[in-house]
Amino acid sequence: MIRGKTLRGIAAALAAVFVISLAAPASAADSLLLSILLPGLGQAQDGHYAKASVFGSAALISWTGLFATQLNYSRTVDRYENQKRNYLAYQDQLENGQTVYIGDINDTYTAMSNAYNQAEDDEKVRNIFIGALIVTYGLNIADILLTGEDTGEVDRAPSAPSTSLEWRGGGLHLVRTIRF
Amino acid sequence: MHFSRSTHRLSFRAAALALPILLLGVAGCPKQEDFPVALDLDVPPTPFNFVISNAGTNYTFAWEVSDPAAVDHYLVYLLGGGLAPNEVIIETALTSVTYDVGFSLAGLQFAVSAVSAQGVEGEWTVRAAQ
Repeated sequence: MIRGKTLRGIAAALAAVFVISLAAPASAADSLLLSILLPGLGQAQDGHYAKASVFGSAALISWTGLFATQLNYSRTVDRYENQKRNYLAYQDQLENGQTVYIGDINDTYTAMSNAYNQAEDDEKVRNIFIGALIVTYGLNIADILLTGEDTGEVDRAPSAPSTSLEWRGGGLHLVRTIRF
Repeated sequence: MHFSRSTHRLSFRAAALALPILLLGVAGCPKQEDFPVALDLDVPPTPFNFVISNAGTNYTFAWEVSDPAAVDHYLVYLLGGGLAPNEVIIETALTSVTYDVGFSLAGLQFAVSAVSAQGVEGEWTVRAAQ
């Protein structure tokens, strides 16, 4: 089972990867890798800062939500496992000839049921953030693959060559100017 | 995008590596196991018509149950009422018993419960002595 300490370790590793990726040399090929590490980084490298902030924000919110709900879910699962252990222990006590009050058994069963239902609810909330993360990563990678690098150049409509008459060297010349 | 074929291959290889790692992370998350089936318990009936009478410090307790065959024995408690812990004073297979409590006090509270052969103690019936 993954516990809170492991999740914090994964978060630290992701943060380290994030820092390393910022220090990595920029190249077109890095955009996809950066976006896989954290959505928005690839777009930022390509100069699409608006999209980068949208994807980055979505990813950060999704990751933060996922870690928070995962920790909450882990705690509820632990509570359920403890109650379940207590409940099943009554069977051992009865088999060992001990007397067990039915009220205690019923209370433990109720607590176990409540913890199980809470775990089911917490899992659903956690899965919403997993879905959000998958959608964010999917859209982000699709965007990186379908969009090119922003070089800062502006496309201009080709202007028609201008034609003029100029007096040169004692003669009238028809001059046609073509710009590149 | 101006990727060469080799950088394309590198990027997709990285993606192919990263996605299983993410999936492993999700799959490794804790999951509540299947809900355990309820224990198979023989719950004894709850005693009723619990009557307490006393002569000095001797108290006589009598009660009835709906299904005596489902009962192995009975427990009679002297309740502490929050001042002292509840105490089992009698363990008997009979439905009527006399016991010397050692003192007499109006309003003393007693409880009786049945215990099945499996060892499950049923609900208590509580009564105060007159």
